Amino acid sequence: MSIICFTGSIVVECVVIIRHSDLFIFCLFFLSIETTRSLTPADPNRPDASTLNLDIPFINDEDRPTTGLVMHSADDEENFNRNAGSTIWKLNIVLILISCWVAASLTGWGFISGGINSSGEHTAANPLVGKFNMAMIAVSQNVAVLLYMWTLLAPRLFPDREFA
Amino acid sequence: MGKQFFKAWTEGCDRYGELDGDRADLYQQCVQNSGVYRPTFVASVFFAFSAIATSMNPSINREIWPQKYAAYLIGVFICMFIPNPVFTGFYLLLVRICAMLFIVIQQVILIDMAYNWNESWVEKSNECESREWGSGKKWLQAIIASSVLFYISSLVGIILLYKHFSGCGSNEFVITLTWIGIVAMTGVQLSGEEGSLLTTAVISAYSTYIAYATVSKNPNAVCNPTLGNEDIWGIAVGLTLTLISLSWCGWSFTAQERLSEGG
Repeated sequence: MSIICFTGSIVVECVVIIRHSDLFIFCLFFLSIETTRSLTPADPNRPDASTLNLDIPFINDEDRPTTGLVMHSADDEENFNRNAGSTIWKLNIVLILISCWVAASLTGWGFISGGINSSGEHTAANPLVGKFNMAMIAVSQNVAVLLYMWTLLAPRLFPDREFA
Repeated sequence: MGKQFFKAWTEGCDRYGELDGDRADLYQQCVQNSGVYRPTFVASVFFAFSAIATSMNPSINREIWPQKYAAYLIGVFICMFIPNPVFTGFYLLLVRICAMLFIVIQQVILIDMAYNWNESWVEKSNECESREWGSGKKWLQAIIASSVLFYISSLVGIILLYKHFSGCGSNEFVITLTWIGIVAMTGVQLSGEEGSLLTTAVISAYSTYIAYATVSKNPNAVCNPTLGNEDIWGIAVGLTLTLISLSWCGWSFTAQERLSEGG
């Protein structure tokens, strides 16, 4: 009986945890995957099930007779690998950073500390509250403002240089 | 299995408090953090592998997606039984560094987006003007109206922040710094040739939002009325901004390639 209670409480705990944060992570994960996937064009070599002609035997591409409309150029994939494809790995790096950022922002940068009331006593904890979290965000605000100021001032201070 | 699971998720949490003790909330928070680390850890590893794979052969990015989803989910399932210290050591350090890097990248993306927005509307105005005299004016008016809207929301935001979050020095410092920043940005932008009012207005509104995010994280209950509530809307806004910058990032990566290829 106690085992049932124990597993039951774990299930409840899981539901609580998932309700709190993991849903966001899963949503973000799938959305980010959809973003990368939607950036890549469909494979021209893959046969579409609805247009597949079973009368033609499955033979090598070189031996297959040429039929149908020309929809893509043959070097589509090569083009992709050479151009847009060369930056896809950078996007994956950004996605690593995003995973880490989600973890950091949901856990208050991993620092666990409760709130304090006026007499310095411990009060209810909020997972997102904390001095460190506050400082991080305040710094990032000033970085944003300074970055923008720099985009305005840089061409004025260095008129000879080119800023794209 | 249940015991193993329980032990993995609670290991190391007893240093913050006991399950039924005085600081049960901190203990609970520690367990909740364990729930966040696992899927994000698997996601980081997943994207690291796919970054390596796509740098060698970019077309891998569009292949075997069912297998990739399955690998992710299996990874999360396996991680459920790995004890906490694995995640709170090196991975937590990585999380903090990468998160700081991402904040900077996100801001570069947002500034870039604001610049592009202004450019596209000015272009549209010029296009209309070339077809019919005076018809481009409405795009310029739209730019002004949006700028005014962003400025008004920043102003209202700052007034509300002063009203609800003042009382301790750190909050007042943050809010004051925010409006000084906004005034400085506007002054610099208006005195020079570079930039546009719309871009400045967007950055001002973003800065005000960040100021709210900062003061709502103050652990001192005297000047933080939101303490104790879970800030669901704050998280939602933050993640929405992330999604926007993610889409923009992806779009501009590929659009640049296609445009430079065509032109």
